[in-house]
Amino acid sequence: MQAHQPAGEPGPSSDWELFEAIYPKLRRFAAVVADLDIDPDDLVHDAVAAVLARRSLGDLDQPLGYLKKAIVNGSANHRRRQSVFRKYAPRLLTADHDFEQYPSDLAILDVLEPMDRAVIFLADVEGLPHAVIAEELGLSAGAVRKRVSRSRRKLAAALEAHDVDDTNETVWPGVGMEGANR
Amino acid sequence: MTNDLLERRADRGTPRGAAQVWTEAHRTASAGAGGGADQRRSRAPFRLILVGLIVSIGAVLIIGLSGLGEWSIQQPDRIDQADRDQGDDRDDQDDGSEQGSDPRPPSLRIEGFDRTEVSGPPPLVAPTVVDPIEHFIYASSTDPWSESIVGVEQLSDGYRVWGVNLDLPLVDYAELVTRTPSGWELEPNELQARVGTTTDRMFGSWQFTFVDGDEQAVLLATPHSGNDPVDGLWSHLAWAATSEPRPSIDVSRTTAVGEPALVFEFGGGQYDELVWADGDFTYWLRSWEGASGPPTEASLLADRIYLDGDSISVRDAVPGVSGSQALAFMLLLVVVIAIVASVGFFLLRGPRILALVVGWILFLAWGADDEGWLWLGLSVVVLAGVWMLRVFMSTDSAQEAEPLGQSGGADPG
Repeated sequence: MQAHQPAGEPGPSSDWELFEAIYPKLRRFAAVVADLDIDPDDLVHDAVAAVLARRSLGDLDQPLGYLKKAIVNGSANHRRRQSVFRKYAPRLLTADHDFEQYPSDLAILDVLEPMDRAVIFLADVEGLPHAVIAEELGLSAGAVRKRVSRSRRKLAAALEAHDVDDTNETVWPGVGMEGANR
Repeated sequence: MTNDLLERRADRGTPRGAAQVWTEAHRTASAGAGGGADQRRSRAPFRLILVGLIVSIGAVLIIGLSGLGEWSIQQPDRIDQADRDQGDDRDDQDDGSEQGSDPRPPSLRIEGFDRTEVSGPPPLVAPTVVDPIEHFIYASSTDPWSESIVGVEQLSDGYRVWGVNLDLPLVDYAELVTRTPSGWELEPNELQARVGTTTDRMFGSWQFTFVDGDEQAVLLATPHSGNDPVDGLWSHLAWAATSEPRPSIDVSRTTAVGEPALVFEFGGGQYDELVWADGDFTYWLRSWEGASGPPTEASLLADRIYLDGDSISVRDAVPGVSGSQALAFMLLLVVVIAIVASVGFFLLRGPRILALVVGWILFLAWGADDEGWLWLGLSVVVLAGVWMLRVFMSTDSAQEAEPLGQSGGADPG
């Protein structure tokens, strides 16, 4: 990948190069972990900004893993906040949101917690060993195993239910009918 | 199918691109408005300071409010307007028309004593209170001060009898005391009836010293509860009879400053006292022996006392709502509202246990007695501790992850 540091931006060029290299992975990871009403780039942005406010990316022992964990935490925090609003002030939740529209089946993944989505994505899509996932996300290997197994079961059940209903018109929270960018 | 779903989810949306995200993240980090964990962590000490400040203010309020139950008594510093001068040589210093808020000596003088050396009231503000013990007073119902006066002190484990103007040995009166549902009472007899119930509770006194050469006369003004001067006299009598061992006490009537007064003569060569009362204070005057000879008996000073004004009065001598009390009440209201708001906040956003703790504080604040204030203080401390713990925990679980270990499959790029 060609290094191209944005003009006029502070920070060592190695940081930019490092970020440019890991951005695609981070972005895909954030897109899975984040609920559909969050722009994945927002999560990446928050995670990187939090790091840059205090240190450079090069100071981190494992920048990709560090940022992944930050993204998971950010998504979990967002979901926690949203759940409160959803419970006590639903009008506030939907009043000003203009998030992107996605096919309804993408929302099936929202049956999983952000951490579970992260685990199953790293395991099944990226093909990382459980031990590596455990180290990246700060879990034990056993916990990763359990989460992968449990998430697969939940996801299978959700997909089955979705197929039974099979209504492409099913309306999931924050989900429209337009196609995804692929 | 699952993998396909995950792949599609991973590629959802339109990426802004690494350059734009990097630029925005840099700008956010430089502006310090990222809202990330760093900011939260940097704010944590300030939050702790804020919590400490709130807890301190609450503690001060609690302590301050707990002290408002007693009388708010200030020293006698004002002389009413009316001039009741019986003497003939008053100087301007005694002009009772001045009514300032600054404490100053009462316009009281004793003939023959050097008025210029009248000392001002000492700054004795807090009432000195001993554990009040109830006394039943028995005396002649027609002329209480002319016959024997017997007091029965109601102790927790029995009684004690004291007497004034006794015509019988004290033990004879003690034999007449019996237990009744209302306490230890003197059996009904022809000479004495129960004329009053009082306590030996004495508040702090303000002292005025008059000097005549080596001789001193000391006047103490003691506020008494209620507005009944007689009750003040009974209280002083009970206190005088029981505060220290005395061979005997004889009481006779006289007048002082136009008020009915009593002369207490203590046996055994002790000093005597001139005692009178008005609506606010019980006054007792003692004279002390000087180097040149025996003191002038207080009883002889009775007709030499002049008071420029109707009476010595006090500000806020009775319980009432003063400005400071109103302010304290408003502050308490603010605290209660804050507590209620906190309950709501913690119920919605935080651990439910905090709502329980805050609710407990509210309950205690509502009906706090002396012990309740202690529990209230402890609860506030517990709440502060839990709160601080919560701040730290929320900081740790914030958006930024803690640094991870060395190894792993993360391969930048």
